[in-house]
Amino acid sequence: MGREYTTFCARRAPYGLFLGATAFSALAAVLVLASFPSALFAAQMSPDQKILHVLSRLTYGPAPGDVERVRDMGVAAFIAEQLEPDAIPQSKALAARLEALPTTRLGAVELFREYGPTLDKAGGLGPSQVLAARDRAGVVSREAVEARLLRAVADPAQLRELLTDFWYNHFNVDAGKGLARIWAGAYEREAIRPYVLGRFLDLLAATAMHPAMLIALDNWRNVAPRGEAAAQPSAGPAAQEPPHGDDRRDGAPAEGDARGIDTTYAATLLSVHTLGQATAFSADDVTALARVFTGWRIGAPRSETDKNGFVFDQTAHDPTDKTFLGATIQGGGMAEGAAALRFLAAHEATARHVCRRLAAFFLAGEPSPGLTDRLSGVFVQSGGEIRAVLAALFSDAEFFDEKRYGAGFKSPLRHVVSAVRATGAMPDDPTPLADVLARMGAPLFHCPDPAGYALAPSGPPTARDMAARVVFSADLVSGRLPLWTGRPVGLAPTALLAALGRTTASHASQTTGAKAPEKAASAGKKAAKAAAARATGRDDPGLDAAAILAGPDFVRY
Amino acid sequence: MNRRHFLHALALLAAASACPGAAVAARRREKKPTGKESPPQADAPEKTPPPGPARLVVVFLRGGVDALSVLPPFENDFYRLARPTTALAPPGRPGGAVPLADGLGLHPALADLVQDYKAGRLAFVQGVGLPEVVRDHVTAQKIMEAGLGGAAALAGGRVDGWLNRLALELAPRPTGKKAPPDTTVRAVFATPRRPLILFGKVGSLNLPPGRFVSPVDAATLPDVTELDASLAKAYGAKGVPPALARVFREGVSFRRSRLAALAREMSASQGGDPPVSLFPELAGRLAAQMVRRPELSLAFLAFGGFDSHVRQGAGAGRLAEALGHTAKGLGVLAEGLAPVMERTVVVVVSEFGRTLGENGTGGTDNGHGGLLWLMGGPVVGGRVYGQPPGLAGRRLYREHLLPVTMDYRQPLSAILRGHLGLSAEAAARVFPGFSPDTSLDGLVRGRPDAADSPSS
Repeated sequence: MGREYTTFCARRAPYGLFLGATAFSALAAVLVLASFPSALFAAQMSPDQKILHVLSRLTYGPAPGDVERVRDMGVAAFIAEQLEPDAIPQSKALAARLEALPTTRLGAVELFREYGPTLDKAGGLGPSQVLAARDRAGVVSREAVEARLLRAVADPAQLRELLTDFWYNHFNVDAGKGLARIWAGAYEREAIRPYVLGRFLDLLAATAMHPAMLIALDNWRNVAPRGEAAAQPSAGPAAQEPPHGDDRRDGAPAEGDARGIDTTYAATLLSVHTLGQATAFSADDVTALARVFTGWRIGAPRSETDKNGFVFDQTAHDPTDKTFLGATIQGGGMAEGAAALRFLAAHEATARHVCRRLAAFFLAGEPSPGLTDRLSGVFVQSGGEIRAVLAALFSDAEFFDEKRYGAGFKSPLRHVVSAVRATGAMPDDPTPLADVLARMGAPLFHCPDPAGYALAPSGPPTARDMAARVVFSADLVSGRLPLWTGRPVGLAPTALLAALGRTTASHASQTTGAKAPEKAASAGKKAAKAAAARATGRDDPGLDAAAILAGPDFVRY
Repeated sequence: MNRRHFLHALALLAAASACPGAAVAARRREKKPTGKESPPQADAPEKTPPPGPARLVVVFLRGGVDALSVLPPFENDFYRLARPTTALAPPGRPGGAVPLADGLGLHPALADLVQDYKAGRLAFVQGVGLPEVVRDHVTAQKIMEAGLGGAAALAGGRVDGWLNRLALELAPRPTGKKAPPDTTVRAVFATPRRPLILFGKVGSLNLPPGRFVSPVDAATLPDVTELDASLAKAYGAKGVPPALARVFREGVSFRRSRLAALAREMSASQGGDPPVSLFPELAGRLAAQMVRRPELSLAFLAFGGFDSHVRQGAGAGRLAEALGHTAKGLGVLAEGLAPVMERTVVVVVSEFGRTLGENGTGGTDNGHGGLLWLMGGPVVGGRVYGQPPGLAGRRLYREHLLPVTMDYRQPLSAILRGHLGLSAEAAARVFPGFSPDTSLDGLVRGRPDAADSPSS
């Protein structure tokens, strides 16, 4: 079995060696292709629009000085820089802040040892132990949230941060489910972050084997029914550490209950992670794939392939041959799963599905079929190199189509992070933003839908979300939201507009007409307003920071 | 001032017809100035001989007090995650909590109570509440005042209050068949109308709170309203997609209708009782009355203003103000009752606690598990009883309700038995259908003479 696994790993090296070559050839091909259809498209953006466009699409939103920096270095150079995040010097201030979050340096196994439920003396595990462990694990959730928000706000490798959000949602794990609560952050660090610009198959393999995913989509309980499993002397129950699939069943996941095929992971793998369209596979394919993944579980390591909490449990695996998407997968232990993942990663429908989602995320809207075709061509040619696909996307005429400029609606996370970035001040404590996101309907790490949040909303936010954004802006500007111990200078309206690359004049033209009728208000009302303005820390009633951060131009990007 | 006193007198006359003894109170009250720290009257029986009867003062804070603000678990990570604008800062920061015990602090507005806690005269019981989830103020208050276990028990026609049943238990049993019935008035209340907790056969004395005006701005977001107005113009401008403009308007009206509903709810939660800003004044008057009339062994106060749905605030803000009045009121009460405080238990209750997470208007919503405060000489204080509420992630994102780990009648039964000397049977008659366990037996110190108390 170990040998089979190494073959799965060994494929990485050749791809790595040819990475540069494939990426370049793909890029060249796309540039040639792109020159034709561009004529069919409407006008391109102006140079100034292009600057703001790459800042709003390749970052969470401009911070003070970003517009000038991109103008100096050029749009193409900025895109190239963001596509190579490892070469971007890390911010020292950010590194120091991340250093102060010790649980974000722990792996999945260490986290379980430190913060998982501990058995009582009798070896039992009652609800009280589970509850106590959950409270103890509060620091893990908080630090994971803090790390993600700090990076989103302050990491200069912004494209990597956006992609982390994208891929986390593509391979969504709901931290509200059982032990995933302590592993959501580790999942992001171990299974998502290292591969966001790498090879799609690596993402697929890393997420499939991560304990957080095994919990979130119930594959830890996906076992071959008795009699079908490989009949070999059992080396003891597979899951030594009780995994707690779900809070509702906390404390009582009897081994006996778990006997059976669970198709949750297989179904999500096909319909969300890879093929996408429901027409590309049948219910039989789902069951066959679920059988392939029987025995992919959680526990103490028993062989060299078992690492980081992942265990391949031979006794729970269905060793029969399976027919999957018309092909036969020979019964062969863990290699079956590896083969299935390779097959899916190379599938044409996967290329289209993944490329369409990536393009929609960066275009903030549905891509044209032609663009999806061009990108999936790159995907297939490059062997699923995400960097190559993105390079093609960012050099495509459609990316700079005038119609795409400022036409997207920000997701809650993008809205909140872009507001904080615009101030230019790193929050002393970003955790208050977590509950703000929850009220906008998108709590970090807690999307119960396996398909993740809609990252490129096709329409404006809901009324409730919109109301929450206005309150967020008022709370942020007034200092009620205690992100900073002192009031950052970047919150001054003029500073905000400068950071956002908008002139005060253009903003005023939009709101002055609006301000006129207010002058008719009675003197008493005006005095009260001035007092309120002082109380909320607004320095200039005509130019209101809160109105900028909740305005129609800020909700879009 | 004169007009106010005149109205007082009128109200007292009206009350007197319903409550025996009220007229007496009115006459006495008119003579004495209503200062917050009123000096003992010359004709009052000052320096009451030490033991005296055991007394119980029940203070009902209406609206659902936020337990997590009274006793902020400032070290808890989930607390900080759940409460972006209403979490108390750790001790030492501006507006930070006052350290109390083991990761728990006290709200800075309650800082005056720390000395009582340290001196062992103040205790808290965590995770207290109704045995079933009732998130409607009026129903929850009714259940709690009737001393029942749930809304179903309210359905059975007329209900009486547990303080009324307690007064009956405190009355001596008639010795012979011909003995005249005991008509001693043992209970006093300082609310405009007789509260449900005193409904029943027993007579009670009213100490009318006089005219009061409840604050009307509790459900407003002044700066957001102003922001909405200026944004309305920006969203109405040319070039803004109509769908976006429409969503903005919907958001505004969503918030407006939400605030209007909250305003109605917050005013209903007050139950017609005075705002908590009157606590110090009424506490002073009540204490004076109780010291003057030793037979008044039971007292009831109720105040509104804790339904903090909107801009609850943290170290400062609406809840901080309400808690400040509470601390002051309790201080005045303890001072006024000083001669008898050794034999008095003051218990502060609320119909429920609040949600763990915040809502969209800077406040918290009606929750479940809450807090019970105890003050007085017999209290074995300086401790926090009960289980700390688990704040874990699932609660934070999905459920929001803190659990009730102890029936509210549990600590009350412990007081009835330990402090007022009721037998188990008598306590069971006060809280029918509830059988307490022994977990809170050490909550109050019994006195040797407690055994002499009238009930068997």
